[in-house]
Amino acid sequence: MSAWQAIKKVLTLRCHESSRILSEASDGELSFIDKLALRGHLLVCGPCRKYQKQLRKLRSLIENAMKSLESEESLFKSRLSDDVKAKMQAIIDSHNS
Amino acid sequence: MDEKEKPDATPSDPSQWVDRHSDALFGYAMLQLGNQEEAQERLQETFLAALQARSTFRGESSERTWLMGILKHKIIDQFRRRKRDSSLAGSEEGELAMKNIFSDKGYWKHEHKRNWADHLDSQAEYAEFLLALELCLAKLPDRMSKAFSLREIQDLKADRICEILGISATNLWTLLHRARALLRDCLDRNWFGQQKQGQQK
Repeated sequence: MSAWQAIKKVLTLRCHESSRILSEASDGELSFIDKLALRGHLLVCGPCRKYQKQLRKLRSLIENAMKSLESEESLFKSRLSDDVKAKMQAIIDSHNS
Repeated sequence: MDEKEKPDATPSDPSQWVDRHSDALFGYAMLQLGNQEEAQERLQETFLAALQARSTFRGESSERTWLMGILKHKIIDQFRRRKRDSSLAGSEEGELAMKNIFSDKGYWKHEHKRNWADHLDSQAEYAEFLLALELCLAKLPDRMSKAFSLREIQDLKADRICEILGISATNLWTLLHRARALLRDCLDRNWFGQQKQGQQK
């Protein structure tokens, strides 16, 4: 990216680009230009600040939900029928003899 | 490390597996696969694989964690097998879906005013959240939902996900960006929306 392109990106970032940079930020390190452009955009854009917050919350909600999977009762509403469960256990038992 | 083996470690009891773990494991598979039959098949495979690998269970992690680890691999194997089916058509589908999110000029089309909690108070609220997430994930184009599952639910690193799905890093960033924007929109309408009804304008 040339210096001019970089300056232009910092000054003219739109929400669709800013949201992409926000997404990339949650998977790794941003380039200096992207960081700068994003920071500038977030200063003036409420909807993108909201998006940033909601992405963080989505991640921590999933993290919390997954943690509780390890030990507790199932939090999921999708369940197998008793019939399917019985068949599944029967298959396990037949392989276990 | 054999010396770590505890003499009193409880051996895993396969006759209890379905009773103890099938709800959690099936739910976990459904969240990522969005398909009952496939989730059921992966679960059955998990139990049979666990049976064969029973000697590797040392009681250092919980039985649930151990089984969950096997199930994760079965889900990844399915994602790998399917990579040829989901060709470029998926990316057009994704582009089209994004037209509901951003205007032609690149601004957000809809306002999202609701405040989301980052932590929920009860198991029941988490159950509601997971159900909404499952429904919203199932609405995404195939590869998008796989990329999101592997990144956010299985917490894998980007290069591993690229290898599993057979895509480039740039592809992955695009898939994740779109998945997040679409999921946020869907959740805001279908989950948090219902929950905070009292606060609507």
